[in-house]
Amino acid sequence: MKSQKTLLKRSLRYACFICFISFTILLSTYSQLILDAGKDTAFCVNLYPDTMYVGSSILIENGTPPFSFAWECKVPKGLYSFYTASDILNDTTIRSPYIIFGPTITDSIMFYLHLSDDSKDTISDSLLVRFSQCICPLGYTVISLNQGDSIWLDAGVPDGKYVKYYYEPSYGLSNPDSSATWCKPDTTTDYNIVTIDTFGCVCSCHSYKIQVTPVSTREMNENIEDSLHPYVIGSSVVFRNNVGKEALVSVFSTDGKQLHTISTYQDRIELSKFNLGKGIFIILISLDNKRDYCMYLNNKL
Amino acid sequence: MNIIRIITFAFGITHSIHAFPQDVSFYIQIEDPEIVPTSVTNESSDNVSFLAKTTELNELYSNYDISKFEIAFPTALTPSLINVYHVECDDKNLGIELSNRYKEKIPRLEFLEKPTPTYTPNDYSLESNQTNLDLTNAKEAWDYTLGLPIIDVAVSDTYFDLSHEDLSMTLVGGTNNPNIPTNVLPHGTAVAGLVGTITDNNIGLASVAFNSDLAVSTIRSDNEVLLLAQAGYRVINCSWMNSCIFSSTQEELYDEIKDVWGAIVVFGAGNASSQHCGNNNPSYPASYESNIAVTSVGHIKEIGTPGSPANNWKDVHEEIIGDSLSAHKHHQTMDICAPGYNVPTTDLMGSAGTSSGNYKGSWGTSFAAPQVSGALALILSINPCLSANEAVEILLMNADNSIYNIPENLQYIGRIGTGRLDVEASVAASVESATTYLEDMVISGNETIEDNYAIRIVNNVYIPSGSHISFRTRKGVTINSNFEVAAGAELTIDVNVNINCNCN
Repeated sequence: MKSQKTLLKRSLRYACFICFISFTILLSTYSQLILDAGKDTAFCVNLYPDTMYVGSSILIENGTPPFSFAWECKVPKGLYSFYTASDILNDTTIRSPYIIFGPTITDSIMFYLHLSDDSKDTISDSLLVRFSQCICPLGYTVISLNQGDSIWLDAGVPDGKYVKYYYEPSYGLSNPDSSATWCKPDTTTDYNIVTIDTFGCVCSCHSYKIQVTPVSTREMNENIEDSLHPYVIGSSVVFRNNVGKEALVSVFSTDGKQLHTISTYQDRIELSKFNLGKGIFIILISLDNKRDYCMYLNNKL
Repeated sequence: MNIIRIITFAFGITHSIHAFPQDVSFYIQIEDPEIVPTSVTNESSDNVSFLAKTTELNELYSNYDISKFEIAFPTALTPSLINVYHVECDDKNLGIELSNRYKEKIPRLEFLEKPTPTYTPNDYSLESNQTNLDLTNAKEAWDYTLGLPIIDVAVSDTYFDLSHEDLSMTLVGGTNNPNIPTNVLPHGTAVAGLVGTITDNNIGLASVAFNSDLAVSTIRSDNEVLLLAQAGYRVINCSWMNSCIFSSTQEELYDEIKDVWGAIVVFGAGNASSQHCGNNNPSYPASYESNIAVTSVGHIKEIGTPGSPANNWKDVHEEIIGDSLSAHKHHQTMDICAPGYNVPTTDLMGSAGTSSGNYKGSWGTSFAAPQVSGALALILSINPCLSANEAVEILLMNADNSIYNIPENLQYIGRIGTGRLDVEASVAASVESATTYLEDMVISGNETIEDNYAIRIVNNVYIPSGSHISFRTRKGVTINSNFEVAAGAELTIDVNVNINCNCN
């Protein structure tokens, strides 16, 4: 019995010892400094970029404050040298510095954060920062339309880097949420192509200038040019004669029949399109019996 | 390399050849206003004569038929440019004589020769009327150089049609990814076509840099520009911007690109779009001092010609007269302007691009900038030994500042650069920088005289017996008068040679 009791005591003693060791190990594990520099981040960068902070979601566990921080990175500068964190960040020794330079030289930077506490314990973690920079080419396409005409804009189907294309402003667009749309503005309008990439970054670049020539009112002066005006907006076609000379306005049908003639010195000549009727007409304007100008009119009523 | 060797044993040779044209033009920097003549117009005949303040000078001026003697750059701020005069007369000896008499007061004399006849490549305006090349005098510049391929030009842009019938391009950076919006896709090809299409090939269009090969990169970043500079490209065109905010680090990088690596980076300055930092504000990297910022002028119609909706008057900044929002960017840090509204250039082949064909009209400083890049390639092809700063000075000093005399441009004085790109004047100035003039001298011993473009023996040059003299140049040696090689002297003339120089 004695030997059994002794054995039991010894067993208990061993068990306590093992418990003590385990507890010590546990204590020592719990006190270890833990650092998480945060998830990889993507910044949308435009011409006026928002302040881009790194380390805003740092997680530190255990350790003895105060903590000290050291950010590092190495970004190639051409073939022969590198930018370091002091070139890229406003301060490499604070918890959450911001980026002062970088998106214009590279599309991603791997940062390394080294943390140490008051007990001289140290730990490191990395953080990948990506940039989606909006760089617009400095060119655009000019398309001239007569008022009432429309044009098909088609930016194609997004693929790879991009998930969506559309045009802005939405004014005059038949399908403003789409990459392919009819465009029929009443006045000259600049359209941007907007792209959204896989990071969700939006980039808007000037793409088209749609120049619209009004057709319902026509300034009539010495510099009037022959024009093709296929559609009429509004209820009438108005010619403005600001030359102060006699204007003779003749309206012909397409088979050559003269339908109307107006001779006037008035500065405003108005043809009601309801009086003309539906169809295509040829309007001949003689100014002071010297110069003739011809217009085509498609009256859809 | 062509070598002419002249060894004289028994007879000396004396040349008296007047090889220079009668109409000569030169820049002369005169620090003493007493030397500058005043123009006097005869009311009855409208003839202009030039009168100086001293009898001695009047005698000198009366020996020449002077048609022009005026301040060359009235709006220039650089001290060394303020007193530069542009003189046109019948004999370049006027400049030489003035320079010799008043050496201390005339620190600079640069001749600008007018080339004749003008050579027109067979694809000039073939697909579309290239009024932009007319306006910038590109054709006249090609009489001096056809853009030797020794100058490498790089273009950083979106996507390039590498199979275009009128372009010779090599992709040196990035991947040529067509998965971008179709209306942005043709941009790189259009920009490349304004730097240098294959010219004189009976296809498409001519362009400024004529036969310069293009290296293209689809990476648009500051670091890519540095890499291109380190790879040896001396002219880099960037028709993009990446910031509205000044960065001292970015500025230092572009300083290094120019000062250490010897590359000139030409940027489109930005358009009227509100996205480009505003019409009156600088954009970056274009506006850093080391870079060339280019804005637009019209090039198609004569001033005063009616047009609707756009006017596109030659040398006028606004595309639609009276509409400042139709003008591309203008501000104090602008360097130069070039045609930028409806400029004919290359499109993606077939119907893939903006037009249904292989060529199109383009709008934007994107398309003004590459014409400047092409001009720089020509300037450097004449004289590869020019530093980046020297080449830029030649470009900007020779821009046509008479655009500021146009009433429609008055509101933009000082905000669209030193003037409109003048390819001919720039290239002519480059020629002068690479030409050695010899006058009133004895050249003896073993000596090599070399220059990148030409050697001009102006007057009274003597090579005594026993001398071994070598002239080395690319274009040739011109003898004006009184050149003598004594019996027993040896003269070697090497032409078509490339002169070694430390370009950086």
